[in-house]
Amino acid sequence: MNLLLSLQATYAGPIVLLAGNRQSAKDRATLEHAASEADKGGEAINQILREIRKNTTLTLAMLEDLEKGA
Amino acid sequence: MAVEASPETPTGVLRKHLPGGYLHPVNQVHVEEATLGERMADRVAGAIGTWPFLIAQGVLIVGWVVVNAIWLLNKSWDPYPFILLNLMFSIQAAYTGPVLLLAGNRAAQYDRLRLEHTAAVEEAATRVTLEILKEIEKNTECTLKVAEHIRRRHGEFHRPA
Repeated sequence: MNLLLSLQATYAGPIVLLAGNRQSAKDRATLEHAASEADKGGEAINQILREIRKNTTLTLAMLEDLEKGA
Repeated sequence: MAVEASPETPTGVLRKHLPGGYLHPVNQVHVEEATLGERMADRVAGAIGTWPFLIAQGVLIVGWVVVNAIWLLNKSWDPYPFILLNLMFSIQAAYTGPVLLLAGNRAAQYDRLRLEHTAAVEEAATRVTLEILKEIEKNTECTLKVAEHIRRRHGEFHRPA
């Protein structure tokens, strides 16, 4: 009985670690994927900000022209 | 991890760009900046939790039993019921238990880092979103002034719904 219990414990430990290793490998891969996605998202949001600033500059120029002409 | 405010890199604030390493800062911090003890924990847990380890252990146990119960018979060093083998099992289990906890602690640390990073990224993204909102408001103000000018000049202006 003692032998059987020990045998069970001897196998349970490594198998739990095996599962844990798989899990952490998966977690790391998920984060790596998220990192590349975040890069794209961050680039897009920065582009939006740049576009809006460009637009504002244009609109301001237009307003200036109008005010000069008025 | 240093968080610096920069509207140009909203999601890249925690990025460190280590050559050839992980892309994600949490992976970088967790794996590449681990202390010696943490590295050891990862290594040992990584070595024990593999199929080669399990298979080697199985071969060793079967070999031990076969050698002692069949081959050597009367001159075996650990006859049935394999008391020495039992001790070996206990020693192995005594060490894999703590290693398991080490691995668990590392996993918990990883989760914490990930949450903190997510919070920082979200904060940075919110900052940029607010900035975008401010820019749009400024733009609308300007456009309204332009519209006012045009209205004065042409008498009327159809404001879109």
